Amino acid sequence: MAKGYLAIVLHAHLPYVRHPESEKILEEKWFYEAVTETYIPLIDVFDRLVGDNIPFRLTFSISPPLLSMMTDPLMQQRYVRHLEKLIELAHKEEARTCGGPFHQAALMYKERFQRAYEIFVHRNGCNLVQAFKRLQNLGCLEITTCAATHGFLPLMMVNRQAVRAQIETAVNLHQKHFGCAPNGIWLPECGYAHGVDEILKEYGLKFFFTDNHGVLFAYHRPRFGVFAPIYCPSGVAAFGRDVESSKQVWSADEGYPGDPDYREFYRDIGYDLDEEYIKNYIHPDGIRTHTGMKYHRITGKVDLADKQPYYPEWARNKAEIHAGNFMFNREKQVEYLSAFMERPPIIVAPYDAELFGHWWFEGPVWLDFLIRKMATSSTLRMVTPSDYLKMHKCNQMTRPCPSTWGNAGYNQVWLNEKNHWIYRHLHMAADRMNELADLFPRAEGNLRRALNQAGRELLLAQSSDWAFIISTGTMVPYAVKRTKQHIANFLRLYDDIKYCRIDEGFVSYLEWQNNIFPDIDYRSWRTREGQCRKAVS
Amino acid sequence: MDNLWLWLLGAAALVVLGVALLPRLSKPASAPRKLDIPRIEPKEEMAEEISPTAQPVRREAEDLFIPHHYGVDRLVVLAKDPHWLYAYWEISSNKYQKFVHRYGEEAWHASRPVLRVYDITGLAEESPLTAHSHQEIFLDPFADNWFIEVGQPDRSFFLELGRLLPDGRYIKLLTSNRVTTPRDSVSQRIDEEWMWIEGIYKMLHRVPYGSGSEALAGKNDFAGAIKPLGISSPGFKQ
Repeated sequence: MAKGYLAIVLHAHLPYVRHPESEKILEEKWFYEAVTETYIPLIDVFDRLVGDNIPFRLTFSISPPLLSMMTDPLMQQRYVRHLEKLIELAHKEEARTCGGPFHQAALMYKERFQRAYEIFVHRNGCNLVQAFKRLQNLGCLEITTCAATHGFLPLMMVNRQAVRAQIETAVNLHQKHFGCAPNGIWLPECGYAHGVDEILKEYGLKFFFTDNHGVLFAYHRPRFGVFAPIYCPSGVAAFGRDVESSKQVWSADEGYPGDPDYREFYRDIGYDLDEEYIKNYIHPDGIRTHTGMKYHRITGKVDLADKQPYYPEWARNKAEIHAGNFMFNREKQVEYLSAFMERPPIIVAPYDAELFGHWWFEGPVWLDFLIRKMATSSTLRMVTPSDYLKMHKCNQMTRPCPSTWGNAGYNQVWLNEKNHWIYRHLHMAADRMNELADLFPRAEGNLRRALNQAGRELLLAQSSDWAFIISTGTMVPYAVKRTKQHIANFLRLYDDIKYCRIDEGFVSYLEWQNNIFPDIDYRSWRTREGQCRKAVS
Repeated sequence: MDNLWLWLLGAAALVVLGVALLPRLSKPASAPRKLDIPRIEPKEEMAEEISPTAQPVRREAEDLFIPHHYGVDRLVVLAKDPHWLYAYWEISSNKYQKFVHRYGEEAWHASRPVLRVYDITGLAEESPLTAHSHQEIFLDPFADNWFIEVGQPDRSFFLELGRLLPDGRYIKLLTSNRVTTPRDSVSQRIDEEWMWIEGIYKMLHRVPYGSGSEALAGKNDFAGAIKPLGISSPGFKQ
């Protein structure tokens, strides 16, 4: 029997950046880049493992906005076009770099893009959710959900109905696409506040994740620290993040991704090459963007101009060494811990999925090596939280500490002097949505469409990404605009509904523009029976 | 002969002109394709008929206006971290009128807005008046939000917004929700309670959702088992 468990959790999320009105919106490219660099390579890794009969268990959280974009025909079409252009560019690059130091890398990209095309178009019919569902049904992935639009729940708890709607909408969408209800949830930004677990329980969710201190600073000191889950009084389990394994992968300085042989993210031919040559592959207005073809390695702490050529083979070797190192460290950790525990410790190692492949180009290969090595380990066993809870049903009960995995560990990133202004609007909109849902218990026709759309606009405004972007300072105007736009849309719908002057054209426009959650039900915001609405003030 | 040269020159000029204009001429041909979106002007409504889906009308940029106030009395407090709270508020003109009606407009201008922070850690919801302590913050007259340093992790608070009259009288205007600052260290409560998940599920099954804490409290050890708030938690029965 294994001495300890390793639970690797990948959280995949992007804000809803679908823009039917124009193909020129830069932010929509976030999705295309992540598909090429993260989701497809990860699926490729998993499929190959399955093909080689390597058993593995991994937790994969797919946020509802990402799920919606992956299954959206317009996004699929546009992605195929995007990929075709990339392949075209890669062909040109193959010829251009011939005989030079970048040729190997150029060839690698060409093969990758062609393979991505094969996986996306031919194997999965342009719908990557198919691949994840297949891997779920094969018993390789446990897929968890997330809040509907990645809303930051701790600051939403002043109106519980708003949190319920985030969870209900997410669980329904998950069920629709994966054919079963999710067992667990990735709380957006690992944001936990007292009471969130009670709402999760209402929707049958059995576990969630917190940052290290979410479990460690629990109301009663947890006997096993973060190396065993705790039960909230509601019976929902909380798994705490292990710091050591996180740091090895996350940290920019000591982490693996900073190795000199790995690919440098910031040297991209979209910026480096002549405009005349590259103009068809960057933004149509000539704005330089990443193309995804990057030919340099990190090299060391040198200027971007002094970066050396990238050699895929070197990077691959490093990934193997790092995977070995990661496993070695986990084995040591487990051996050490099991001396103090009367049950096998669980090490929970959650990461943003987009770290793998997009930021850390070699991440998927590293994961591949790690899983193959793990299959031979007698000390470690890969599990998912559900597996663990089935094996160890009795756990310590206490209340987790409200926390997040953001900088400094609490709500600072999503509530500070830059972004605090959004909450007076978000809270008001949530209260008003709640009011509308109570006012119209059985709406039909255009009224129902307007109410549902109001719900969509509210959810989209609540996305934690906007507060995060405003706080970090890049792409701020986009985040401000999205927040204001959805709030403005909501407020207009609210007035129209309340004063019986629904403008069908306006509703249709919004349904076309912000088409997330086709099956949304505005009644998710209704006040639940037995609870009275509590007015603030 | 002269004529022929002129003709040739003219033809060459035309060819050059044509080559130069061709890319420009071809552009507008592709441009209307982008019109699957509604930048359509009233005269071009034919384009709408051609496309089968209902193409909604694009709205003006002015829609991006969002109000700063909603005409609602509210004071909302949020925990930012173990040491800081954040509050925002709004006083409706109704509330203001009431104040003016009672104390006079002079009083409004002469008084100062204050935020009172009450520490109510461990107190039941119904007894806010027994707060352990309170702290008073003098506000900027035009402020409608404030970051408050309480410096106390794991404590519960609520706020009041009021005005302090020159004679020292305090007039309460708004009361906030309750908030608890998160812990910032490992707990000193080292007693433990363990739970079998089937057990709790079986028990919770009997509790109707949404029953308030009062209802639970009436069911003696039931409440104790589900909500271990006391320092020494009873063993889990069942």
